[in-house]
Amino acid sequence: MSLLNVKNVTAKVAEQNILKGLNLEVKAGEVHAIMGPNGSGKSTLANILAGKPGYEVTSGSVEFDGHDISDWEPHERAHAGIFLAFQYPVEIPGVSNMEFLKASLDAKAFANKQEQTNAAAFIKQARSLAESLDLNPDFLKRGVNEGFSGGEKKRNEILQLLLLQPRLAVLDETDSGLDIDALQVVAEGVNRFRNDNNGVVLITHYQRLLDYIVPDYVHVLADGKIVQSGDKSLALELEKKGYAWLT
Amino acid sequence: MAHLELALASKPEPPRWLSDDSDQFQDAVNQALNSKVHRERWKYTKSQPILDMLEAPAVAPNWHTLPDGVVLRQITQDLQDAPLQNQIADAPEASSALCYHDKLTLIEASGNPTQPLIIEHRGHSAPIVLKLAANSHLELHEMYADNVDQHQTLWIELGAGSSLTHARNSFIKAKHWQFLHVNLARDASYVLHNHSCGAQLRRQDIQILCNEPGSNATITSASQVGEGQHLDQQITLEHRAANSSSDQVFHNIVEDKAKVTFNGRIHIHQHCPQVAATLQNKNLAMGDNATINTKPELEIYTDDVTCAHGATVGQLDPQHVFYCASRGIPLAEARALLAQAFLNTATTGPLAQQALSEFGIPTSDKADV
Repeated sequence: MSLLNVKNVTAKVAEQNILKGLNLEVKAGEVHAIMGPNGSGKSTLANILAGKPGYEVTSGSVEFDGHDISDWEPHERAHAGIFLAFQYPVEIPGVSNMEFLKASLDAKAFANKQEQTNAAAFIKQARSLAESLDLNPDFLKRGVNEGFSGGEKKRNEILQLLLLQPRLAVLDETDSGLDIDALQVVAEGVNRFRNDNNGVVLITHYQRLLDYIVPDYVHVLADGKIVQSGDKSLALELEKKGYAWLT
Repeated sequence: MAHLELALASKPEPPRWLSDDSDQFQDAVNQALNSKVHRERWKYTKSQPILDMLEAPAVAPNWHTLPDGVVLRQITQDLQDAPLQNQIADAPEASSALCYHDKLTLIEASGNPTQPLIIEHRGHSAPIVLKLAANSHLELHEMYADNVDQHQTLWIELGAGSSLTHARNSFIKAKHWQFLHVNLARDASYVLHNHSCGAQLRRQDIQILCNEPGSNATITSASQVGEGQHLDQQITLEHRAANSSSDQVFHNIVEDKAKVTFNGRIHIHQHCPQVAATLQNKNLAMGDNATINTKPELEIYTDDVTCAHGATVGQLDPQHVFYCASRGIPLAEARALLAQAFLNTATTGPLAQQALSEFGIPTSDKADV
């Protein structure tokens, strides 16, 4: 059964039609890269999957694990196992990363009738994940993304991904603004996350990221639709030829 | 337009050190009470209920154990170099308060005591004058017990090179007027950590005078004003000397049907170059029927100064709410978490933990990570 099944979705944002009949199926164990020119609808797709207010599915359906989630609240999608790594993670001074992570984990555990993670075990796990992502564990005491560099914010998104262990990770241009070292750290984190039971939707502008996170499928999104799909070689072709030949 | 004449409830007799002539004093007070400036300052809070409180008998605060180097006296006679004279125009109610009490409390502190001076008010307090000697350092904790109507007038004199850290947690919900007046001498430093809830009526008047070069004042304030509650903060920062500086941050959470007034005035006098002053007032409205009146004011008469002020009135940032939701935190919890974060960033100083718990912000999660 597919993990994610986006069927012929049209969607609008601020009265503007952005997605115009998009289809995408992701099965467990698969990594799908979504590429495409600016304004093609990549971030809209990410926000539609996460349920961001203001992004409205006007026709078609979004199914996750066999459920139509079009009407689900963002937190309900998170509880079900959808995770969005933000293109521009927000800064929340006054809430430490540690508190935020614990609140996220506890909310998910509560919704899924699971036991809350023991505080000591949680702290240990968060610290060790931070270290593995080249983040100073002192970051955990600071406000959520407060004063973080662009690269640190993206690594913090991956830390959350690894801690929350969702079933579907949607990474919205997680590679943007990263230098090559940070890119490798982030890619390594995503590769660590990958397994046979989860899926990844990787939205990116550049083929570069796909050298480190090798996708099973590459799709080209243009004008709100997927106009071409292929394997990783498609990304290399796009790198050489650009998008013009497809649109 | 005819105004209702404001007046003191009964005619107080000013002590002789304050005024030689009772009638003259009365007239000056009544004139100040009814001046245009004064009416503006009391635009959103009725002053009569506060004037009416001045007559009430004083209740001695709980002083706890006085730290070394701190001496406390009840005095009735003349005060040498009293900070209280010539205050009628700027603070007529506070000046009047002096007259209704036959004693005032003089606290003289010197040295560098390791223990804080704790004042726990238990009702209307007689006026307090705190004098900190030159090059001395003191921590002052002000708290309020008993949920009864009360008012306090506190006059602080900071000697040259001295520093005072003043933490004040006001969490009683009855009518409460707090008047605070601080005079800073050369290189003196004053830091106020102000935390409060709303109340049936809470009025905080803070007047800070950087009188000499190198003096510095910092205020960090966090308030949470609940449904139907009232908070009025009137802040004046006078820079009367070159190279003096001030930084002020006020965060207020305003629940539905709550009312908050903020008036922050920075006044930089003539011939005061190299003054640096900032003032920031942020208000977070948590309901459609929250009322917020905010007015930051700058009055600058010297060119060579750095000054920044700003006031915002807003609701929670939807991007922040969505970020929390995308991590599984439901809407109500996300709103509470973000409101707490807003208060948290302005909750500082030695009584911060107690304030956080009054705000209902869990502090146990802040275990060492």
